[in-house]
Order: sequence, then structure tokens, then C-alpha cells
Amino acid sequence: MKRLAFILAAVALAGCSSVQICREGGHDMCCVRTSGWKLFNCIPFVSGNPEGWCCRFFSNTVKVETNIALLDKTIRDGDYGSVSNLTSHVTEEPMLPLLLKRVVCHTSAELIPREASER
Amino acid sequence: MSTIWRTAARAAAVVLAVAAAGCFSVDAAYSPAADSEQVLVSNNGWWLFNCIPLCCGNATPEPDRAGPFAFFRNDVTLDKVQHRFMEYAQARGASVQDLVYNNYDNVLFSIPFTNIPVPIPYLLCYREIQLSGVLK
Repeated sequence: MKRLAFILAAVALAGCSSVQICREGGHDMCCVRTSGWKLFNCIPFVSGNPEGWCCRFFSNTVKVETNIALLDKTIRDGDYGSVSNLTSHVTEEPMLPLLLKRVVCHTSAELIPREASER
Repeated sequence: MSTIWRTAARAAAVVLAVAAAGCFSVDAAYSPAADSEQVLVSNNGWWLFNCIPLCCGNATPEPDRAGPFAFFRNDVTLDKVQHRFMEYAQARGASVQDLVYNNYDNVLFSIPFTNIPVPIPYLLCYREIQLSGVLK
């Protein structure tokens, strides 16, 4: 029972990372999001794994560097030459004040197709 | 007396439900000095266990829009928000510049009108998408 409770708690607290692309109206917009949980405001407990599914324990991936690496991969994998309007912001959500908080790093950018960026 | 309390409790529940409900909006302002229009399209809503959409702002365009809220449907998506933005730009006959997304998601439900979170994550989650841009 305790093991099940621990597994459920771990799943509930899992971090994640995602990349979404929207191609409405001729503008390819990309939103990258990485989330995780921190203990005592500073120790990364669990955070999203940018290299695959599930999450990483005791490693901080919730930072702009991770989001930019994911954005770079999206640019390389798609037929894009550059980006514009690149912005990032971090939001924090305290669950138990000073003990446990959720941190999310969002990055938004417009992807410029290779043909347009070479012009 | 108990009937009065029951009625008051129901009224409070309705007020809380409306206060917590999602909202879709298109805000725009023209700057004569910059000769451009700043547009902000946003939508937000509530999810149960982070996967079941409960209530969000209705992003359906105006003639087909049944009401301000959409129940058990996900309208808080990049596609729907950006579609409404582009539709607005097309109606104004303007070109779009400087598109930026500002997204938020909370996994802890705060007690309405207070800033106190219920310490059970992923029970009731909040998502918001804001897309701002300039029309020239």
C-alpha cells in the first residue's frame, strides 16, 4: 500500500517537457514548455526529460537552456532557417510554502521557413 | 431558516462556478503614433486531473457561438487561439507582426478569492493561452 502511494505521488509530481507547433494563418509558432518540482526552493526534485518520455530525478532541466535546445532541435528537424520574436518566461507555483514548489519554463518563438530566411 | 441557508449556499456555488469559469477574449488597441494595432487574444479554462476539460472560454467565431463558455471541450489550444487571431487580422486587412505566446498552467487549485492552494496537485488544473501581436 505504501509502495502504491509512493508511485502515485511520484507520478502526480512528475515533470514534463513538450514542444507544440501551430501553423495557423501562415505563421508557424512554436511553444516549448518544461516543468518540474523543487524542494526547499532550491533542490530540483523531479523535472521533465527533454530527451524522451517520463522525467529526471534530482536534475534541473527547467531552464531556458533546455527550452532553447528543444527549439534548436525543432528548427533542425523541420525545414526552418531561423526564428523571430523569441521570448521565455518562468512561472512558479508554491504547493507547500518553502517545502515544495512547481516551476514551469515557457518559450515562444515564430519559426521562419528556410526559404524565407535565405531571402 | 434552513431554506434561506440552502438558497444562499446554492447562490454562492453558482457565483463561484461563474468566477472560476473560463473566458475567451480579443483585446485590441490602435496606436496612432506607431500606426499599428496591438491585439491580444486569450483563452483559459479548467481541467479535471489535468486531462478532462471541464469548462473553458468558447473560442467559436461569433455567428455560431452559443455562449461564453464551452463545457467538456478543449478550446484552450494554440490552433484555436491563433485561428481567431488570424481571422481578426484578415477582417482588418492587416499584416501580422511580432507574434508572441504567453502561456500559463497551474496544477494546484487555489480557493477562489484567496491565494491559498489546496495541496493536492492535478486535481483541478488551470490553463491559459495568450497570443499577442501587432497588425500593420
